Amino acid sequence: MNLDADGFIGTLLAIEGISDARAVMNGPNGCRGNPAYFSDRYFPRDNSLNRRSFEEPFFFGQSRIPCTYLDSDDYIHGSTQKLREILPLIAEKGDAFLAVVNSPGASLIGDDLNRLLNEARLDHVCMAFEGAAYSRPLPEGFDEAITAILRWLRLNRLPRMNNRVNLLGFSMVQKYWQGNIAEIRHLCGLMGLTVVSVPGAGSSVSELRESTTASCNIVIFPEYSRQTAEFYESEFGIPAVYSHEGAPVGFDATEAWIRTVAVATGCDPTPALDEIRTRRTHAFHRIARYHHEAGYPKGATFAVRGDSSFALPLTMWLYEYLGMMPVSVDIMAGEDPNAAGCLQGYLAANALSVAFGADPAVAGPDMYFGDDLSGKDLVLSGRCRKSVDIFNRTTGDIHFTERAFLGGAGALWILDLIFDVVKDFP
Amino acid sequence: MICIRIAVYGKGGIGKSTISANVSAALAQDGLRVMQIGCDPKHDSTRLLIGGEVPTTVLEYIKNVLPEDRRLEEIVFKGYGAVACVEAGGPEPGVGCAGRGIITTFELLESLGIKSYSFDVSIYDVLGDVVCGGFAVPVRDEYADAVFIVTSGEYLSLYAANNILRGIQNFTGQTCKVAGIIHNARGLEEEDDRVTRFARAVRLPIVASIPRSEIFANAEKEGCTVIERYPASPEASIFRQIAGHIENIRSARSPVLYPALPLSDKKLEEIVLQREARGTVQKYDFSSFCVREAPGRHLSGSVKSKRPLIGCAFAGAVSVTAQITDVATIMHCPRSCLLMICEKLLDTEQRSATIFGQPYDPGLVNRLLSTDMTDEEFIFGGERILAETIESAIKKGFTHIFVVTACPPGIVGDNVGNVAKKVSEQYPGVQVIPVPVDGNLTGDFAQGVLDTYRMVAGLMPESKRVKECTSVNIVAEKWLALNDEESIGVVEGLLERLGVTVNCRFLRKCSFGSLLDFNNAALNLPADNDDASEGIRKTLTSVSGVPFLDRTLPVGFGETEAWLMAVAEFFGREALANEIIAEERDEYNRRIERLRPHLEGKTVLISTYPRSVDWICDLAEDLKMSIVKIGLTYSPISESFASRHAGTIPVEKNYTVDMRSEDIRTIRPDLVLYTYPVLKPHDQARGAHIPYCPGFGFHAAVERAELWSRLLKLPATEGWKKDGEGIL
Repeated sequence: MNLDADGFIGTLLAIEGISDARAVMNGPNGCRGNPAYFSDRYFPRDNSLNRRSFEEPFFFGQSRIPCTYLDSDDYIHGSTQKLREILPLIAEKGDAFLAVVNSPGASLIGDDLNRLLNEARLDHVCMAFEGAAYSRPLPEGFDEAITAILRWLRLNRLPRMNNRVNLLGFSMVQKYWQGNIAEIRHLCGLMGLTVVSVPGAGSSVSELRESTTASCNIVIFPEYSRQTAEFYESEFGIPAVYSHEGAPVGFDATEAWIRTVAVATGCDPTPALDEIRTRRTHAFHRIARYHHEAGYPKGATFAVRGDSSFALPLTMWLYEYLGMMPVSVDIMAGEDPNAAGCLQGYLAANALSVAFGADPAVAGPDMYFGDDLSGKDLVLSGRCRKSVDIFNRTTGDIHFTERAFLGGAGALWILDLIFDVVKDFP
Repeated sequence: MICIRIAVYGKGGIGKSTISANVSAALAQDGLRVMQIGCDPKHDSTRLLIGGEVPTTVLEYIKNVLPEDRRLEEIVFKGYGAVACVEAGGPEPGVGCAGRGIITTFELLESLGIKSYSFDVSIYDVLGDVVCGGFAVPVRDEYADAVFIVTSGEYLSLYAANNILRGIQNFTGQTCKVAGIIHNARGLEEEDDRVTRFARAVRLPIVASIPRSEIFANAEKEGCTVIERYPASPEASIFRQIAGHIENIRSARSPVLYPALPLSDKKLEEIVLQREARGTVQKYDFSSFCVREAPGRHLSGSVKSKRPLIGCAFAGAVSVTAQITDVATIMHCPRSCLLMICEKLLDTEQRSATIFGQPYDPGLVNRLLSTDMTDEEFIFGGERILAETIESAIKKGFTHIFVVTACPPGIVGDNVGNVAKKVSEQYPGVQVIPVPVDGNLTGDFAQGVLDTYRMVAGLMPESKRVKECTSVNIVAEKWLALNDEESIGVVEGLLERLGVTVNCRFLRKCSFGSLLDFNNAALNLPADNDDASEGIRKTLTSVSGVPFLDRTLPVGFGETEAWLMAVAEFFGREALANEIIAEERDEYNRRIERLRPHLEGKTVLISTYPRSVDWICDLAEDLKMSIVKIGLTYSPISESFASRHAGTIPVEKNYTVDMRSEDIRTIRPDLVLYTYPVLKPHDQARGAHIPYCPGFGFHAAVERAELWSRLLKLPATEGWKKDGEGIL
């Protein structure tokens, strides 16, 4: 069973990732619970203590992603009536942007959502997604939705300014997404770059409108943003910057990323590289003073299942920097062809091809980097010592301190996780 | 000149495609750039323009070509007069959703940039007697500017025309969008009069009348339009007349569009057939039949009362079938559906193992499979992918396989029973069992649970014989609370002390074989008595003679004492039960004595959705606490409320959050026990949550009281809550 969320969820989370936007689901209550809970948990906005109860129509006790609670009658007669009721109520919430998304079943009814939006005089603030990337990879659904939203917003062509950039490819589905963005903003700041917007990951509608002032788009996770980047490039001439080594995971990929961004923007990479150097030294002192009789973490095994642009740098870094052995490397559907190709090539070059696509349950890694349900399944089945979540799930843990996987801070946190496990190795 | 988009609707077989193709040809002859899109699964709209079938329909193309490889020129073909010809196509008859296919066709054409090519006229030729939303897409504002309705003088053709007007009215309201009626005559008596009467009644012009003529068949035989083959014929001039009309609309030379004003069915009959309805229709009388009673389907509370459905039957069904440890469950659904329930099932299993040390079931992930339906299966049907997934389950070694359906297969009409039958025939010894709950089409989560229990009960060998033995079945346990498995361990422990074994847990962590052995027990122990549990009890009593104990699994000392005695009496082991009770009473009394100094005299307000809170009332009595009120809040899963304490404790129905806050302000209870929602910060009260599953056995309740005792010593409102002030 593939437990990866799909493009339908990606569409909903892309909308919910805009800070002053709200997704409205034209669909049954059952389809909505999971993404509504997810959005509220990982991007909380309202006061959950002020919530009403199940009596509140369309919200049913959950603040995010109200729905039309379609039932069998609506599948036959259409959902027009419920949409007519829900739209004015949602409009009262005062969001800057709304989007109605059809659930899989609702997409088969054929209701004219745009006409209803027009009728409710909400067509200036609300767009319609009559279909979504059902069962297709989540990043695809996310990317398509963000592109559609940016297109719908009819962004103005504003004067582009040097040193202003957008960050593309972030989503609340990624673990520590806010910490990751903060770290990348920090590195950009050190290089003298200002981040204008992060579409679908915390930016407001007004920030999205301002995004056309950027001199370039820095693509962190291309799986989630290739179409978006192409849109900016074709419509506004804003070039996209991709790092060949994938996302800035680990010191090496972070340094490569800094250099790539510096070349593309013409800014000075030195302060950012200096900081990574400092963090490397910090890590060195700790690793150098750590002693395990068997020499771990060198020789410890790991498995990773994630987006290709994350799996590539993580695999390379753990192998080269810590001497850990990849025994199972799997990339999720919707991969970036460049990162996926590099990863396979890298494994082959190091005689590790057998790890690519290997079943982690058979490989029995010491550490598993992936989603928490699969990871816990491995741990509880005695097939892995430690699972590290790299995605958020409705079932995930709550964190209070801002953590990251990306950049220098992220590298140190990954080391924290590894050494915390390794110390208990026999 | 502006571009114009025309939709041609009419009953199947009425001649829309012939008319559309001829009009396209006539417009092309006038030098216009024309595109014709056939929106009929039989994909023959453009046949006369191309001189045969299009090499590829849009939907075939979508099925066979990856998104990034798709090109407009591979689905648009050149017909007579350089008319651009497109056929949507559709699924095989009887499968999939052709309406969804139309929607997808338009989406694809748009994504491939069709809008950037400014055709002077686009004609959509649409099947008109199918009235689902997909076929109405061309009427929408973003597509057709004008609609022609093709009809003959036959009643059914006019009926379809009237229905089309209804569809247009639904989509456009009073907007003028109908260009008029094209009368394609069949040569019937009074046909002209009928069409004229209809046209007058719906206030539309008849823009052309096409006589019945051999010339059409002759042209068709040669695979071309009348315009091409017989350009000088009177029939060709009629099509030029329609083309001229379109050019008038295009140039807006005259007010040529009208609103859709459909007739009621009664009025239609009066006008077209010129007869009045035959008076009142009588209801059918079934009293003369001998009726054989079939086991009834029990409905959940929400389905019975048509309340909003919470969760869906698909999730409920999967939550049941997943309990059977040696059976595969195939979820015939898009991926998002499975997440709704599987995340919860896995998380509960994992946390139950982590928190309570319960044995982890690693097979759960392995026995859940999904077909991951995409748009392609929505259009063409999902039977093929379902068959493949069933085969993959068989290859994994499963011999019993449940197939649970979500909304899309239910809507597109996948014949799961047929697929199951075919696979079972191909693999003797394999049993594929459809659970056709169709997402939420059949109801909510509880309905899915009920339907699946019924389905499984139907697999058991029927037996009304009662076996003499000392084993029991535990029936209708809940499984979504983390402590469920631990709680049932307490029950099993008590039964063991009584010398009673558990034959089957129906349905929780059981094997398929144990379900079939259901009748090898002497007694059924119902876990609960809510609506769903009662429905399950009724289902089982219709196929099994095993009697039910009239008590549910107990919470707290009083309930457990009574329950244990009842079980013991059934098996004639009262003395043993008395010994157990005496042992447990000592321990219980010790705990109560320890807690009483902290809780005696304290007042309690209970705010709960209708569900038994007798265990709380019993405990409060033992601790000499005072319950001031039980407020029953609304819940979508509300059921009837009964309490042994109802006469002594005030019970208020329709209890709202505001009423609770008011009671807290005026009564000032020491403790508020609530289910949902949580207390408001301004309530300034000490509260404790009432767990969905407080656990079973003598000490389950008193463990909660230990928490109450601590809460009473802590601040009413924690500091962090103040930081939420100002956040809406």
